[in-house]
Amino acid sequence: MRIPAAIKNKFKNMKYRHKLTILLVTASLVPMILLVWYSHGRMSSLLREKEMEDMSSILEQTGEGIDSQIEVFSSLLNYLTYSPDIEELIAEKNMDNYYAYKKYTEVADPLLSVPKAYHDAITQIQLFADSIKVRHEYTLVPLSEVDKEWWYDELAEDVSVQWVVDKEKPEIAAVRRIYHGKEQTAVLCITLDYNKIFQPFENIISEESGGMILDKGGNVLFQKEMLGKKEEKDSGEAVSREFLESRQRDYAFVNRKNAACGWIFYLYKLQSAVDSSVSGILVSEIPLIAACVAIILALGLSFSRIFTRKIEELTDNMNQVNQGSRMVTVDSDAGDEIGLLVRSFRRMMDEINRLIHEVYENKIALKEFELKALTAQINPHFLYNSLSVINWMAIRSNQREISKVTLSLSMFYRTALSKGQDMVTVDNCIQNIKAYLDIQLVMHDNDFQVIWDIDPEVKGDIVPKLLLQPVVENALEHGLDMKEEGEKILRLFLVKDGEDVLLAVEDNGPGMEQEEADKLVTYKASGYGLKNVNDRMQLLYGMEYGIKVFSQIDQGTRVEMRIPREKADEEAVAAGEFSAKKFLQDPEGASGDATGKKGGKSEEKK
Amino acid sequence: MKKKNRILVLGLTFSMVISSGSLTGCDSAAGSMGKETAGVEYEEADNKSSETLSSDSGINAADTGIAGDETEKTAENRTDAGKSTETEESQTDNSTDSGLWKKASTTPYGKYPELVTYTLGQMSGANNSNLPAGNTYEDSAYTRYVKEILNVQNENAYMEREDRYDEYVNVLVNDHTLPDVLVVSDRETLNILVENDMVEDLTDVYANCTSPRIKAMYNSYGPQLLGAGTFDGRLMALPEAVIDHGPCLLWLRKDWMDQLGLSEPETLEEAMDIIQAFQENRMGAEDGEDPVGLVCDTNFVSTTSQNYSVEPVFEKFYSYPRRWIKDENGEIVYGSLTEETRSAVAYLRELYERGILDQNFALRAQNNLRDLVVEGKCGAFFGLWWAPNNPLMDEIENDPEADWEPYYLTADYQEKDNVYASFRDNKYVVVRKGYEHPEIVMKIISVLFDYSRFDDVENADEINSYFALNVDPTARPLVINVDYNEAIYNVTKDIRRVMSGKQKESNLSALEKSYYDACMKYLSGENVTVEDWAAYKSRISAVGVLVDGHYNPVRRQYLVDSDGEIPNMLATLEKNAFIQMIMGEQSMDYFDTFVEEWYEQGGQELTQKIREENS
Repeated sequence: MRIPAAIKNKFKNMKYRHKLTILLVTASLVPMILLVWYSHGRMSSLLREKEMEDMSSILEQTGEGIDSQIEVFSSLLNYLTYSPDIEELIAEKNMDNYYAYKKYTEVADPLLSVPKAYHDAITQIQLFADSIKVRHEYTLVPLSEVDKEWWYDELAEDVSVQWVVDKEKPEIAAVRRIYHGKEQTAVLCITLDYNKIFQPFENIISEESGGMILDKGGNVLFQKEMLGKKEEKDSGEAVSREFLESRQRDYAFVNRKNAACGWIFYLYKLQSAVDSSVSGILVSEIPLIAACVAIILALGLSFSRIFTRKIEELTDNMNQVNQGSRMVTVDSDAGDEIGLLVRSFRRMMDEINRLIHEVYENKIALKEFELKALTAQINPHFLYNSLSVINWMAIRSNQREISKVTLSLSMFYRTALSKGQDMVTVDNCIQNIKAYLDIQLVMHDNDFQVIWDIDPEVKGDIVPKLLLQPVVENALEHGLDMKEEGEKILRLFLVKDGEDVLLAVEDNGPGMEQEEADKLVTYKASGYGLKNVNDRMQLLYGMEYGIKVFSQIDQGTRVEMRIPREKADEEAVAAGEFSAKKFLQDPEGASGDATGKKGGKSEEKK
Repeated sequence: MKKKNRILVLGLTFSMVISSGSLTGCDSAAGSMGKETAGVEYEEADNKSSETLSSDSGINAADTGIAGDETEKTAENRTDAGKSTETEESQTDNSTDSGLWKKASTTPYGKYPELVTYTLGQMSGANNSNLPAGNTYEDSAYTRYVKEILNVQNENAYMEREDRYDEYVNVLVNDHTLPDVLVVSDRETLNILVENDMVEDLTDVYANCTSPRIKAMYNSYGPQLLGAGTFDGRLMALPEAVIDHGPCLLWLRKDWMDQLGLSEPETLEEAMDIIQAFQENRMGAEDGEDPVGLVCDTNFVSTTSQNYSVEPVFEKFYSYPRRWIKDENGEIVYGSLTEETRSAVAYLRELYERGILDQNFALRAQNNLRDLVVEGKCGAFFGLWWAPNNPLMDEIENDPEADWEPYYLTADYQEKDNVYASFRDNKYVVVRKGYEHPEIVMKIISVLFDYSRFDDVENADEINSYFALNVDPTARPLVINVDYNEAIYNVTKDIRRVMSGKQKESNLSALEKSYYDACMKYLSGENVTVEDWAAYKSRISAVGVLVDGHYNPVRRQYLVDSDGEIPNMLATLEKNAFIQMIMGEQSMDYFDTFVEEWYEQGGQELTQKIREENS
């Protein structure tokens, strides 16, 4: 048998847990069904045998009962035949009336009526004799009247006890002919109640069964069927061989022969009636089987669940990893394959995480190192001292301009270096840019105007240092310097925007296409350095922060930087403890993912 | 453990546990089921057979008992008489409870405000007394009617079939476990009950709670009947009132008489001549058969439920065999031993010699005699007034040409009042000493035998329909009957009065009306059924000849206590002696020998005892 591909596929793609359930259930159902099937079959056949045994033993009992009755009546008949009184009655042909009266009333009456009192099946005992002149009661009858009796024609010329049955009357006659020499002188007859004799047999014919009594010649003496709902008794016609054979074929069938009078008793039962007791067993089995199946299912389900729980957890975890998470949530201390698998996976993920961290941290450290190196290139003290000397010389030679520029330059560097700290306050930032712009104004002969818009609230917030300077530089270099006519205005905004600090630089230079402006942040456009700033910001605060550039031809450009507000911790500011540490503590911002624990863990590992 | 192994182990254990579980479950179920079915069937078969055996034997035994009563019942069915007089007292002013109770317990028809129950020793009949399906001894037309009228209900504490009833009552009496109400049919038992003060005095309740008509019925028997239940002047038991069925009539085949041109007989002798003519002309005899003649039962005298006696022959000689009589000297003697009886037997012997009396009479039993009549072989027999119902109806059915006529030939030989009756077969109603409402028996009797029959016929039609359904008297809560002694004559007189126009048809009671209609139909000659014929022949012809012959029931004297029952041996001796003399086996001189033997074999002591007790 070929399993269709679809089913095969379906099975292939089925969850392991379901496969296991199917396996368990099948593994238990198959033997169970086999056992149930076998035991049921065995039981049914046993029950059938038992039914048959019952039937034949019931028939046996009943038959014996009837046999013994028949035996009793036969021997009664024989006893009466040979009793001297009856013999005398038969022999005395010419009794005078008074003698006959005495015989009749004192001998015959008790003899022939007493048995009736002891056997209620006897309806009457009759003696038909030559010697009897007139009927006395119904017990003594002249022989000449015997041929009026219904049973007389049926009799064989025989001295044995003969049994004649009339279903209609309904009576059974046990008759004996009595001969004197060759001449029949008397007939003795016991008439029995048909119903009483066959009552025991009728009683055993219960629903769905039937019974029959045939005599030697195959005539039906008694028949009763209770097949289906209707009860049939004495269908009337003589039962053909075929009928009997058909019953024999289609029904559970037992028979028994009566030795004394040659009657055969048949008892048959509808096969379905026999089976109904079997199906009764089936009915009683069904709840049990159902319970078993239910138990199998429940156990199968729960066992497979227990077995596959770890595997499923593992699979889920793997799926998550597939989708980007690197968290390992599954754990097992079991010594089996799955435990091994889980622990292997764990170790593998740990390894991967560790490697990722290593690479990442290295990268950041490198960047910081670069910055530090840059800052370290300048020896600030030397620079300050030089500028101080220049300033002093300028003042001495009364060169106010030079002094101013020098001071601005000094300020610029001081604020730019900011004692080597990475994070500075907005105030610091402002001073820095002011110094820078002072110098630039001198350099540009004051041909542009600077407008500040500062929210005093944000002055204390901290921002990465040297954030604004490249942008302002860009605005002057690519914006205002390119503007040929009209007033050049540079606007600087340091304002609060919700939870964020918004730093914006706006020029009214020639501007550019918006598409071009967008590219400034993403591509490494040479000479702008905006990408660098953006990367730093996103590294520090996350993807939702960074630089946005808005520009329009002939209208100018606006560069906005958004940073989450963060009040400067005075001590920290003083201690200069921002920078890389902060980054390391908040890798969330760096990875832009929600795997906070991982950072923590990796930190621990470090 | 390895996962694979675990699954394997799990799977295997799992399936083994479950299948072994199911296996044992099924096995045990099958085992027990097999056993059960087999056991049950055996039991059933056994039960049934034993059941049928016992019940059937009971019925058989009872059957014989019933057969004899059949005829009596028929007679009784037709026994209703008299127009009702004012009976019910209308007292409506007593609306209080105690008033109602008082009224109920002091009047025949006062209804109890609450249901009064009594336990009853019920004599039951064969075939549930022929009660219609669904009716029981505690829920029949009788009990329903009694409950409706009186608010009285029986609870049958004991039930026993007629044939074993006496025996059972004896047990109750000896065990002192009497039901509230009991019918006793044995005089000795009654004596024990009264002597031991076990039954209530019914004198007052009889006076208060029987209707005037019931009292009239009892009075119609003379004081002797109630006297039978009276001890030391107090009525301790209410006797049944068995109605008079009159003397035996000679029934002759009228069509044979007409055929032979014989005139109607005036005397017994003339009648015998007619029978002799039948014989000589071989009437009813087939070739090779002898004609039967006058059939005769070997008992010669009969009870009220039997035909075929030759009692009128004895009456002709003022002979009363099988009865105790007072002779001329005032001494009690046994009637079979008298000279009159000798004469009667001699006359029967003569009839036998003349071939008038059936030559084979000694060989035939009652049922053979009946068969002879029904088969049309017999043209003469002595029978009571109800003979048309049984057996003549069957004969007429066989041979519609046949016709019978009753002849009352012993009118001139009216019975003398020197014959004693016995209480032998009388039934008595007694009430247990201490029962709260002894009056209910009187009330029930009044309701059943007066009110429902005469005053409330319309509403009591269910009870009256029981006659037609042939429901046995044993179905009654009190298994007795109460009616006028002359009940049957009254019916006939009433019908005749209407026939002759002396009275209006509307004056007839329901029962009388039905007989009247049947008789009129017979007389009209159109669509006459055998039942119409039987009604006319019994009610008008047979009872008519008695009425015309001025027959009057003789108020017999009763023997006190001892019944004077003849022991079997003496009865057989008598029977055989009579048969022998009649058949010529012995000469008439043998009568003296018979008398001697009778006295010798215990008759002397018996006679002495009865004389002493009744002196």
